[in-house]
Amino acid sequence: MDRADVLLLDLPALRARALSAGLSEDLVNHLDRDALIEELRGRAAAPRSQSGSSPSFVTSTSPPAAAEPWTMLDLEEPPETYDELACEALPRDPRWLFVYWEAPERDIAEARQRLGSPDARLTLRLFVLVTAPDGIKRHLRDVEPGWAHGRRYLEIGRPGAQVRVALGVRSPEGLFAPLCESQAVRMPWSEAGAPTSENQWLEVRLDGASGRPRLLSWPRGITKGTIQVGSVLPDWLKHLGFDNTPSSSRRA
Amino acid sequence: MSGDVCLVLHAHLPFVRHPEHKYHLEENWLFEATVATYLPMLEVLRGLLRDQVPHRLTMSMSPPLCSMLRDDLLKTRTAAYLDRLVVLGERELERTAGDPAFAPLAHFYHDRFRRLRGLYDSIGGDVVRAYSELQEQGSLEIITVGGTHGFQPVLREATSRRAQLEVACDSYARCFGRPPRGIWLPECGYAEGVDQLVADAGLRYFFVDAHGVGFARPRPPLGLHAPIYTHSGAAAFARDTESGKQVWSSKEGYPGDAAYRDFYRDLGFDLPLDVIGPFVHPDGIRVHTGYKYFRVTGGDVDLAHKQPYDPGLAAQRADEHAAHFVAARGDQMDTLSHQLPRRPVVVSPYDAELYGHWWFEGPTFLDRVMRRAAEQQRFRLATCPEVLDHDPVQAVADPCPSSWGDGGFAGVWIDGSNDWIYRHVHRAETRMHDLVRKHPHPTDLERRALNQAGRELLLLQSSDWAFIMKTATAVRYACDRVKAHLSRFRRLDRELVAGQVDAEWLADLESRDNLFPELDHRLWS
Repeated sequence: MDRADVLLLDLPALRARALSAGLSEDLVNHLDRDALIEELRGRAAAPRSQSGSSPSFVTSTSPPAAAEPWTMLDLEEPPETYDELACEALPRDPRWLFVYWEAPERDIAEARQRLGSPDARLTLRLFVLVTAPDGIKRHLRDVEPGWAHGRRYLEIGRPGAQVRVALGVRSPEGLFAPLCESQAVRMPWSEAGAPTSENQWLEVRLDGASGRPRLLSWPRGITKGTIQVGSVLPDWLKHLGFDNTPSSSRRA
Repeated sequence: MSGDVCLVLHAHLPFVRHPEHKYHLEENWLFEATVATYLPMLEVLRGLLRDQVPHRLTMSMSPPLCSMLRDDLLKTRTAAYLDRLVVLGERELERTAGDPAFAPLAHFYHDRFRRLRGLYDSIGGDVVRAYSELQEQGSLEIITVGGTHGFQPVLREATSRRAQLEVACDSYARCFGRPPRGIWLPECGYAEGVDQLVADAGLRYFFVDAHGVGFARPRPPLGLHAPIYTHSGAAAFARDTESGKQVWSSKEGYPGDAAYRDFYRDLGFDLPLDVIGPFVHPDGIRVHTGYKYFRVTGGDVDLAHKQPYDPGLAAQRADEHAAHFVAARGDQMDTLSHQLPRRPVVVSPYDAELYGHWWFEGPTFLDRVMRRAAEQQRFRLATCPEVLDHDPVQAVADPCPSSWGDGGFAGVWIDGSNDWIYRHVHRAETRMHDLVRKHPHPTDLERRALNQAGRELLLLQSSDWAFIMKTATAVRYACDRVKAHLSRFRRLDRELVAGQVDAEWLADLESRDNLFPELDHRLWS
C-alpha cells in the first residue's frame, strides 16, 4: 500500500529500477525482492533535491537500509509432500478453479492394478453441474496434471456451476479409477440472476427471552409475486408494511 | 427521513507479538494504528457524546486486535512508543525553533502526541474497555470479526469454519460483556453455507460486497439497498459502491486532496540517522515516525517537492468533504427512495485504519459527517439492527460467493504468490479435527497442547498472510509466520500422537502465542 509504485514491478524490473537509482550492480544482484523494495522505498522517501520551500533541516539521506535482522522461532520449511492422498478445489473467481493434489506412488500403483492397466495415467477428473432452464447439465472433463503432486488453475468457464474434482488414474481405454476427491464447491455467479416472480419473504424478530434471532413463518402466506424497482404492487406493499415512501415513487 | 445510512469501520490487525525481541518492526503496525486511528477515533466519539450530537457508527473489532490491545506487554510497548513520540517532539521543537514553516508543525505534533499519551494514560491503556464503554452509551455498535480473520472461502473443514465464528463470538463476549449482534466476515468473504454458521452463532447480520447481493439467487427484488435474509435467517447487507468510491478511490477519493497530509514523507526517512536514530529501528532501519511535515501537494508531485502541511487548511477541507459526503448521501437517498418501494439503506464500510493512519484527517472528516448528518432530515445514521427492527420482513436469497478484494472474489487470496499455503492449512485443519477426536479425555498437559494447537491453527488461517504475499509488502515476514505456525502445529501434533508433549516448550509457546487464553479445543470436535 505504501509502496504501490514499486510493488507492481517484477524482480528484473525492480533490479533495473534499482540500478537506475544508483545502487551498485553487486548490491542489486544480492538483494531479494523485499530488500530491493525497501531499498527503493528508502531512496524514494529521501529528498532528491531541495526546493526553495523545502526544509533546511533535511541534511542528508539515509545510508542503504539493511534487511531486517531476522529470527522467527520454531521456523521450519513445510514438507514438499505429506505422503498422503489429497485433492482439493477452491473457486478463485466465476471462471477459474484452483486445485491441488497429491498421490503417493503406492496409491497410483494400487489404482493401476485395480484397473489392470499399468499405463494408466494420473488424472484430475472434473465433474461440473450446471443448472440450466431446461434442467441440470452434467459436464465431465479430464486433465492430466503431469506430476504426482502440485497445484494449478483450471478454467471451468461456467459461473454458478457446482464442481467436484476427483484424483485418479485413467487407462488408455478411458477407464477411470478414483483415488480421492475434493469437496463439491460452487463457482461464483458472474451476473445478476434473471428477474423472477417467485420471491420469498421472511420475517425475523428477536426472541424476547434469549435475544437471539427467531425466524417466523413465511410472512402472512405471501410467497409468490414480484416486487421490483419501478413495478411495485401497492397492495402488497401495504400488506407487508412497506407503505413508507411517497406515493409518487410507485406505479402499479 | 427517507432512508438509512450505516457507517461501518472495520478494525483489524493480524496478531503480531514478539516478546522474544526487544524491538520488532511489525509490532509497529499496532502502535501506529493505535496512535493514528484508535485513539483519535475515541476522541471523536467522546466529543460527539459530550456535545450531545445524535449519531450512529458501527465498528468491527477483530479478536486478534482486541487481544493485542489488551495484552500487557503490548500495552507497555504502546506506552513506550507514545513516550518516544513525545520525546521526538521535544527535540523537534528545539531543532525547528525559528523556522516559520516547520516550527508550528513541530508544535502541532508535539501537542497532539502529548494529548494522545494523556488519553492513553487516562483509559489505563485499555482501548477495548474505552470502546466498550462507548458502546454502552448506545451510539456505537461494536460487532465481531471472524476469529483470526480467516477468509471463509478458503477454509475447508466445517469444524474450522465454525471454530472461526465461535472464537469470534466468545472473544467478543469476554471483551465487551455481551454477545455480538453482527459479524464482519473477514475480507467480506462469503462462501456457500457461511450464512448458516452465522445464524447458528446467534448473529443477526453480516456484510457482503455489492455483488454478493447483486448476484444473489434468486435476484433480490429490492436490489442492493435493502438487506436480504438468507435461508438461515441471517441478514446480509451489501456494500454501497457509490459512497465507498468517494472515500476509497486513490484518484477520485477525498484522501488524495492536495491539502491533506502526505503519508509517505516522514522524518524517519528525512533526517540523518544520527538525529533520528533513537526513534527508528535500533539497527538503523528507517521507519515511519508519525512526524510528517508535508501535504499531498498534488497527485504527480514527487516526494522531494511536497509543500509544507497546513493543519488548519486540511481541517477546513475535511469539513468541506464531509459536507459533500452528507449532501451526496442525501441526493442518493432522494433517488433511491423514488426507485424503491421502501426505506433504502446505504451501507458504507471502510477499513478503520484508513481513518487516521492512511488518511490523517479521516477522524476529523467522520466527526464532521456525523455532526452535519445530525443537522439534516434527508437520511438518518443507523445501525443494522435498527434497520432490521424497522423492516423485519425481507426478501430471501442466497448471496453470491464473493469478497471485497480486488476482482470481487477470492483472487487476492488464491494467487500464484500465496496458493502454496492451502495444502498445509487444510491438512492442519484435518489433523486438528482428528487430534481432538482421538483425545476425548486428555490429561491436563494434553489439553493444553490441544488448545495451543488450536491457537496455532487459527493463527495459520489468518487471511493477512496471503494478502501480504499478494501485495508484496512484508512478504518474508508473512511467509515466515505461516511456516512458523505450521511447524508449531505439526510439532504439537507429533508430540500428542506420540504421547510425549514437551511441557517446557509448550509453556514457552503458550506465553508467546497467547491470544484466546480460554480457547477450548473441543470447538474442533
